[in-house]
Amino acid sequence: MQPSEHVLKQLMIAGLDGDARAQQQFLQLLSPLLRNYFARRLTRAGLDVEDLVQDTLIAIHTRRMSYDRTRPLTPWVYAIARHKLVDLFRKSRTTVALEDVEHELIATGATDDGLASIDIERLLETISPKQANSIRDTKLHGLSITESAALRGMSEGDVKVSVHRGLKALMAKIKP
Amino acid sequence: MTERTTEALIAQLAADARPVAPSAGVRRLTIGMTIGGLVTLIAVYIMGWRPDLAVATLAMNFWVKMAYTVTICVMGIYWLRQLGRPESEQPRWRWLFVPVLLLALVAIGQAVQAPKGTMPHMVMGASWQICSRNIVMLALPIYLAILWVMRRFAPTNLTAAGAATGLVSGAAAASIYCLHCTETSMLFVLIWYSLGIAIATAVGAILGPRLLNW
Repeated sequence: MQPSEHVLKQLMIAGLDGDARAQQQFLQLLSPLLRNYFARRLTRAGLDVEDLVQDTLIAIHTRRMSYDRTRPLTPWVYAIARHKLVDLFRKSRTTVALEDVEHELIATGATDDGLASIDIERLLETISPKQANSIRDTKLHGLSITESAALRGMSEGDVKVSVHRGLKALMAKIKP
Repeated sequence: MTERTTEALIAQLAADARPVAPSAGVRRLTIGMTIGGLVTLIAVYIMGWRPDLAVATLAMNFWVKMAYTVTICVMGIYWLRQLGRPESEQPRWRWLFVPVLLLALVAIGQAVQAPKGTMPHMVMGASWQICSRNIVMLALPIYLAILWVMRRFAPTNLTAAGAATGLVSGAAAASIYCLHCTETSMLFVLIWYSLGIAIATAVGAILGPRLLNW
């Protein structure tokens, strides 16, 4: 079961307040997310995913000061992960086609206005957590339906329906 | 690397989970700016205060000059804070035109009132050859201090973060340089102070991807 923004944020804030166990749990919950995020993007490059996971965890821990508690946590985490990924591509000069990198950037929202991701997080908090998670996985974090289903312990059909209903609920909220 | 070593790493990191207050970022920036600023202040002290400093602080010129550089510095600090967040958006650089335009208005007003034939002096002053260079050199301690500050932040737009670092250090150095510089023409400030700050910004932008990467 993938942790929600809400849970991660609570742990992060407890960690910032000096709770070592919360910080440990936070990093433990992040590891599979990061592993999955990098594994999807390093398939052809033949680079060490676990190395990158560890590097990112260290960055997340040592640069916690850059997190603003009033903002959503997930975009902060993924921005750090993306920075580490792009940096690795640059350093290793792997033969990643340029359009691939661009695709990564678009997929993970580097070109988005940061505010857009904040708005999305706010909106997602207004619908059911199950629907919100399904949308986060498949529409924001670039997971496939199958991967999301496996992560959440749901059936693929269930994920599909959740995404569909969630999007419909979001539409209803946006429309005046 | 294996998932087991990751677990060990996490335990190690978590053991070192010192509290980080919401104000920690501001505090770190304040400490950095204070230390860098003090070094620059000492350098300006060694160069010598302007001889008429006590009198000069009674005149408007002195404060307009300082207001210009301090405004730019404050804007830069705001952007620096913003760019220290990994998911930050591109800062709105165009706001820099506001202090520049305001100073340009004052400079024009001053130039119109000035007696004929003094124009070259209003532009060149007595120190145009060294003014920008001095500002860039005085920016160095503050620049280094901000690099240190950024080690706990997570800038991902390194060129912009480098530019903001250069901008803040240049503008802060220029503010301190006001204590030494005797120029009173706003046209002079508009050109040579701005040039010094611009050079510091450009150097910062160029070095950003190298010095700020993590």
